[in-house]
Amino acid sequence: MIYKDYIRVLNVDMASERIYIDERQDLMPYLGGVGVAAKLLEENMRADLPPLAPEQPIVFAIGAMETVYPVITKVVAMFISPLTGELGESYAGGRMGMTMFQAGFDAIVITGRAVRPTYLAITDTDVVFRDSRVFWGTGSGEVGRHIREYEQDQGSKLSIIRIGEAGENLVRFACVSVDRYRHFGRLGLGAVFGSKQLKAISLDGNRSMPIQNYAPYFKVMRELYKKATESGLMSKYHDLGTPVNVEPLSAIGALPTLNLQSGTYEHADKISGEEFASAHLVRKLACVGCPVGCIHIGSYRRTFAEHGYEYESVEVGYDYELIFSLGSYLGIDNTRDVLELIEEVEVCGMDAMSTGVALGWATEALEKGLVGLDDTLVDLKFGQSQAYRKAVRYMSGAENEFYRNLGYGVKHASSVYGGEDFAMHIAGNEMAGYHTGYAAIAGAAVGARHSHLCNGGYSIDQGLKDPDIDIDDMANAILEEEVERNLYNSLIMCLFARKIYDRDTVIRALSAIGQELTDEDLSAITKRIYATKLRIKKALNFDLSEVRLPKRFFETPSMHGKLDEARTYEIIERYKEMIAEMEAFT
Amino acid sequence: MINVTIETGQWAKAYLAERVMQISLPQGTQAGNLASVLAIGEDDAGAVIVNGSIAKPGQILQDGDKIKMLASIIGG
Ligand code: SF4
Repeated sequence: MIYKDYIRVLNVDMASERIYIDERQDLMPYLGGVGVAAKLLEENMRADLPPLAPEQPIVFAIGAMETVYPVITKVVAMFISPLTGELGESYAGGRMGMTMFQAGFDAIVITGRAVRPTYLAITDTDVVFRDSRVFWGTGSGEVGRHIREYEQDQGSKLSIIRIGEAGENLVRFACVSVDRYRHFGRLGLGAVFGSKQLKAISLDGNRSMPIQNYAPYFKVMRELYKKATESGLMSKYHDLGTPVNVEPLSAIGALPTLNLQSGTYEHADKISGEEFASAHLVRKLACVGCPVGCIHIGSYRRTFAEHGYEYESVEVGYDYELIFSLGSYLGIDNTRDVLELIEEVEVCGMDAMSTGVALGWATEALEKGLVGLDDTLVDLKFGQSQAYRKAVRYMSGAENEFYRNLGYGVKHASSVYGGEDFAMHIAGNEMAGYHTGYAAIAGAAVGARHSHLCNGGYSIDQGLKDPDIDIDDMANAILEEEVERNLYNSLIMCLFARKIYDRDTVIRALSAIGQELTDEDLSAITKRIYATKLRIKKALNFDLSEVRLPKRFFETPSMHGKLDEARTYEIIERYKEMIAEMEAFT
Repeated sequence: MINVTIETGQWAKAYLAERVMQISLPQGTQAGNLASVLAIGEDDAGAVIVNGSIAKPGQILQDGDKIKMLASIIGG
């Protein structure tokens, strides 16, 4: 939408293999990214049908400043989540944003179910439905390599997004892998792909968008680049990256450990950011358009044949969320085993956080006799990474009834086998790696997609001097952040960079690419987007009063000590009152 | 003055030359003010551990304390 007054939408019907392109001026009040995607989801979804019905849409959208400014790198995917049954929203970087931009599409809406496994090859001149039966059953890395070879003549900047076995088997937290190291991780977009027999999408294009007025553009661009590279605001993401969190979170009692039996991990130092860096770090990569490069790649050696000395080197992307969910959460006390587990989850194509939390619950369920070895097939015990690796395969392959149920998420599995008190999800989405306090839990509960990133509750907790902050103030702090993040996500910036994009900078940056908006306009846009999400959630029958949180959140002391269950529900109820009128905002 | 031992991690390399150092501090220095005393950026310094326990609000450092300074939590 740069220098344009419309949003260009590619509509794809997998069943009929037809496409059409819209140029929608009426979407401009949603700015881009999450705003446009939410509106398109609202228009296209079928609230009367289940999340994996062929009619349900997948919507991708790029942001209003995609690619032309630093760290504006992400694409949003919106869908009905098969994990929670309501709003699905997930972000990924890599090359996808740039290739969508160069293909000339601000948004893509995919509906219908293909008659056979298919991959879509999208360019600025064509959309081709390619038979992908030969790829069905292959891991996400392998299919990516084959498509790259096949589409090679289109250019090396090709972006390829695809699912692994878990998506094909409709595991409710299957992810979509983007290029080599990025993902639409949370809430089961991979299963929605699988339900459409959509194995992959390749994207490429050659459109350029010459900047029309260099002086103001380069003024803002240089300023932003300087802030991103010289101010120190971003360097920590490049240095150790988010794995730096492991030790401090453990020290303050906020690192979920052993299925949240504890917030402190005695072996945190053995899986710390420093430990990963010194033992495994071989490269740091960046999403296209990012001068930071926070993607940390670790390498380890593995044996690939039993005879002789047959080794290969494996490179794995790692970050804090993966280390918590497949490390401390499962009692894994060494970096190599964590990397091996990450690799297994990657190949199968599942969200690492949900996978780790599901395995943590299964371990305790087995320990407590709620399920037996004939269910789990392997003796799941905290610290036993080889058993977990097998369990990852069983889950992704829906090996038996137990793993099929586990693949629906811990909320569902615990409703079948018991153990709800230690099934660590928030409104159906498995917990993230921050047991920091009220804002983390209530924030994820009220967050539109029940992610820790909806409103950064963990960050609010950390900033609190007094954890017994007034309930109104807490609900208000969460709401303000939840609404404001709709601006970041409509542009769509990497959230790591949110401190370099203040309102004034955003206004000048938009102006330099032909979008004249005031501070009031931006505030109205954030509210409009949030209102759209609230209407979607309402249509899907989500009610905050029905959220039930597992008891363990209130038994295991957080960074702010033991949390009061009643108080947490009060914050949620207060938030519900605050948003009561908001969905009417247009 | 008091003498304390301060341990940080690689995250503090922009501020401190050594990962473990002995330094002298004025009497009455609070654990919570250590980052500003050492000119470590507010956004970079996290929890302070004194002799193995997380420092309480207002805690005054004592001669001989062993201090571990942790990075602040980062994320989206
Ligand atoms: S900081 Fe990291 S995740 Fe964010 S855009 Fe840059 S490389 Fe991608």
